[in-house]
Amino acid sequence: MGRGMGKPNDPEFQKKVIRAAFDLFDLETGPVLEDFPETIPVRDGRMGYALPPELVLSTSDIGDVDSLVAEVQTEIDALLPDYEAAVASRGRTTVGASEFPIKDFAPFISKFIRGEIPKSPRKGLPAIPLLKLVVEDLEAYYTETRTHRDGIDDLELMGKWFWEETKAGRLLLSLEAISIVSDNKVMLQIVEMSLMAPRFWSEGPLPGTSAAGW
Amino acid sequence: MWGWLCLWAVFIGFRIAETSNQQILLALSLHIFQRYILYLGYILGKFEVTKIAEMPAVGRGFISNLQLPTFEDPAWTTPVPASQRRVSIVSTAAVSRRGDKPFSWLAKDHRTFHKNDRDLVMTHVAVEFDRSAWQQDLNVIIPLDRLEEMAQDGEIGSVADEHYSFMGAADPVTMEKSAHAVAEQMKQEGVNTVFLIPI
Repeated sequence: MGRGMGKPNDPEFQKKVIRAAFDLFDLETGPVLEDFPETIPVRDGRMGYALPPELVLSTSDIGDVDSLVAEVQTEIDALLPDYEAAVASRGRTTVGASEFPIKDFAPFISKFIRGEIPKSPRKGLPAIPLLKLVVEDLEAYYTETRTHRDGIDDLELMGKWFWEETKAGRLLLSLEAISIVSDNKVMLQIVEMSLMAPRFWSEGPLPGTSAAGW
Repeated sequence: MWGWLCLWAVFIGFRIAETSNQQILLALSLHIFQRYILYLGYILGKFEVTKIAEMPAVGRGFISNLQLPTFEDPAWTTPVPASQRRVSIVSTAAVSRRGDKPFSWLAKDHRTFHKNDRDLVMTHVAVEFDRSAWQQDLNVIIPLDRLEEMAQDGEIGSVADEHYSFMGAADPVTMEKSAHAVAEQMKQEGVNTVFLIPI
């Protein structure tokens, strides 16, 4: 999922998909259901990266939030030259749905980890939906940088790196730990329905939740 | 979620067809539905068919409970020749131009973007689909460059000026008003082929 035309930066493959779809116009009747002859393998029956079920933080694992934010900022600063190179090369970036400056991602997220629900700086967009956009911007910043810098296109590798190996990933798992014990229904919904951390394709829901929202 | 995406595409397609008598391309959405959800691809290059029972628990539970709607008397029009096709994309990826209002979590509205727009952001509620691909290449979900090349090569007639995005995780029934508005815009622009692309 997320790869409707099959492969990024592969114009010929993308055109094959389009042509195969348009060729169905030649059929006499419809609707039609037709398989594309080529299949891109997926891992373990899942259509996207999924966090290992055992990789769950509790609130007692979070530690000093200021130190964690500082570590994330250091990580972000280190990635910046490669991120800028990626943007220059591609001529575009998907980072920015939140309209937050990159340097403000981690500090904003950390407020929620501290138990605050800050006032949203964006008119018409409440704080928690904005938080979700900041989280997605943070991940996009990392993965846009890495896919360009290392010339790799591997969603499993990207997910594992970001969520399991980076300080930013740990920051977000800390946010998840706070959310799951939150008495705010929207914060709880974010984790119940895997709207932030990628657990939809995990072998089991986040402990403490039922995944009943799905 | 994925079922909704595909069912949405089918729904929108039929509604547009009924509204404007344009030809509708349902093939890709249906293809993806079948490929990923019904047959579920292959695993790790072993080329074994994956069944719903083999999917991870959360996704398996959700998908197993999906219900397929039935459509009575669906519209099906005779396509125009390929060289006369004016193609507009409808995506469920919840992409929009930077600065547009983000999609809400159960959005029933849509966003419009121009064929030359490349500065797009995504505010889809779901995170379980891969986003690293479109970060690398917009064409993997919205193939504007590919369609433009096909138009220049004479494979299709032209690429429409305007293209459309919905938040595909929402209930498609709630999108009917928006679907009518999109169809009306397409009619005004002379679109006769709609390329429905679920995320």
